[in-house]
Amino acid sequence: MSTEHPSACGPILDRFRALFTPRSIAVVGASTQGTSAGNRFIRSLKASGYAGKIYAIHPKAEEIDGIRAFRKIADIPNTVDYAYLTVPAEKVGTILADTGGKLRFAQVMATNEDGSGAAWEAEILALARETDMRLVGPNCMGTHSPRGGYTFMETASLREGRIGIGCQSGGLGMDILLRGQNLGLSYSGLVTLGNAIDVQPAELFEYYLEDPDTDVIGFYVEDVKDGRRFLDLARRNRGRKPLVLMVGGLSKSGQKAAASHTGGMGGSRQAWEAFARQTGAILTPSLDAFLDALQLCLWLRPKPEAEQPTVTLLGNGGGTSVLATDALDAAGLALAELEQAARDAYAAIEMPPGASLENPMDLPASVLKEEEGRLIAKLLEVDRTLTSPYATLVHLNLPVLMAYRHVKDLLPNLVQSILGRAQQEDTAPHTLLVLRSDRSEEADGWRRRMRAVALEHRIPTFDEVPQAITALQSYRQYERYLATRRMSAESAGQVGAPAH
Amino acid sequence: MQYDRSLKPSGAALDGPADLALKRAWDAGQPALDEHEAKAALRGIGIATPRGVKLAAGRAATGSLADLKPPFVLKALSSEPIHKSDIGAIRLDLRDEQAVDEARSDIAARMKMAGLSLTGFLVEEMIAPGCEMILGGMHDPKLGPMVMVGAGGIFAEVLGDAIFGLCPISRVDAAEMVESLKILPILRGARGRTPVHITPLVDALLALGGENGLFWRHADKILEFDINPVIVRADGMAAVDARFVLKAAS
Repeated sequence: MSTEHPSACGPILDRFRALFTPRSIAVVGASTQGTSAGNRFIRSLKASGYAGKIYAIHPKAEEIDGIRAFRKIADIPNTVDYAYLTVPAEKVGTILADTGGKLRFAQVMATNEDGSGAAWEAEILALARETDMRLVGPNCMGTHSPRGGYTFMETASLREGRIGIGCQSGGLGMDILLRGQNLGLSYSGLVTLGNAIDVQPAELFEYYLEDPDTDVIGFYVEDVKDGRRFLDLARRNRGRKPLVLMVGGLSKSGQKAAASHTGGMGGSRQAWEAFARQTGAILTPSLDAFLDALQLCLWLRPKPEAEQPTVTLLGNGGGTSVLATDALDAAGLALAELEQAARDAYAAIEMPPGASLENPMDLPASVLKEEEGRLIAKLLEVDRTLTSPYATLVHLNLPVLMAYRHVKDLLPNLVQSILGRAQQEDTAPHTLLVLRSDRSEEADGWRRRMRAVALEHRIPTFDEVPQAITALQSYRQYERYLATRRMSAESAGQVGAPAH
Repeated sequence: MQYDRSLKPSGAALDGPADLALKRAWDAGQPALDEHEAKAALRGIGIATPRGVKLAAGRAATGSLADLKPPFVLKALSSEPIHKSDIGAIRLDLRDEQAVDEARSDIAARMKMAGLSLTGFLVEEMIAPGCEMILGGMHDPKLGPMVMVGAGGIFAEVLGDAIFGLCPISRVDAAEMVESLKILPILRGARGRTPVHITPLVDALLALGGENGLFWRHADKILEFDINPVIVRADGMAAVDARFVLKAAS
């Protein structure tokens, strides 16, 4: 058992302060030619208006990209909260040995590729321990901290969000940032942990659990390291802050020929499925499923009481509705049945022929265009008050609607009418919006604009219906956990619906 | 292993009959509990097994089975982990003591041929058919000890209908595991069958993998185990076969 690192003690929020809100940053590996990852990081710090002090470390230069350069960290007159190291593996040891105890966090991007990885990792870990410094990585891409005013991705938005991410792959970390950002997600922090030789997934998880700026937590893990600690933390959390997981390497049996039936039937997939079932974590198999689950956790309020979840499907496209019905069935969700009162209320709404006022509700564009796109608000009101399903899934086929160019502001009106019933009250159905495009530039453009409006109203959006259903199904697992573990819907609701 | 550090619930009694059976095998350096020892351990934690007697390797059945009701099952005992049906080390439906003795010499020859140690024989009453389930336990290298319940029998792996739970499991976890099985409707009496009681399965999972469960408490010694089949019927449940592989074996 390794001895606890001195800096690994004390309140968890204090421990990570220097990483998430560094007052000074040293960049190690920027070149005088201005072309390396280190230079890009310096540019990104300047562009984002990072408020702390920036230093460069370079063997010869006096200045890099207008930043004063020092030979080694020990020469810097002040303590450095965070160092971003992009130097090759063989130079990392020297840099970490020459900090004079002035460095709090070192993030090491390099990987050792000459086959002596374990010895190299042990060496740099020992250097970190000697000087009471924390080490993030190696083999990672950096940290994204909007509160701290810095990010490792030049194109990432520094808009502050409420999702905390830990990621054992730099590339996926980048994907989570950028694709998530286009989906409307923003983060309280994203740390790429790489091989996690010092800062492990469990410790970062503990930080996010305590962090008042984080409501929803997401992790991509390949080697969770101290899995029991990760499990204990998730158990103690009891679903208070939703946890979305993506676990790599589940297909590897990775074990010797089992001596028992049980050994032959179990593996890490079964273990992580048990983890999810017993802690309420949502286990997702792909990047998109991961991001979608994060959306739902962020924007929906859990309905643990829904025993038999029913869904209203509504939109344009008959075949889409039929396929959606099949996808619902496969996901264990049922179509909501319409009561006579709801049928009467629908019948009383004036509209042109062509609509099928059943569930699924088929609404051709010629009907959706009525009242310049505002008719849908009346239908959704009947759905909410007289059918009250667990969820309402609205799907719009944008290219068909775009053909009604003569109707003024049809698409904006449509989306506004749907948003009129955002997830305001706990009793309102979960509302999910599917914006279907033909992938033309025009339809994609509309989708992007409508999505931006939807997310301001806390409505999750999807490209296709089955994707929305999969997300809803995974969110049900979280709700089911809350229900079976008797956590009150009220206290969970406060997590699911953070005050902005 | 890292999780061993937080493994032991403090103050748990470690001297029940199940603990003692395990300790004896561990101290003797056995790679596994033989079926007789395994079943003694199971009875010690409240999991029923068929009525039976153990015969020493060379001892005849004649005169020893008066307390048992025929037909009998005869099984070889070995402190090595063995798949009995694969090597013919089990015989079912034996009518009387003489039939048991004939089968005994046959099995002894097969064990010798397979180069396996023979520590004796177990003669048991046949259990009436019911739902065949499996209970088991193993270690995940990262998340630690876990227990399993599933559709059992020799086709357990083929069916692949099993649910795992990370130790220690709660009663809610255990019930949810059983209720998540595809075979659940059959347990509940699909197509006019008599429904079986699910509670004994849940109790057994807890006795193995719960806060005071045998596997959870001795996860440092037990590498993996199978209880297969567990026959579940409307009138109760019995562990018909059980294998505990000890860590010394690895």
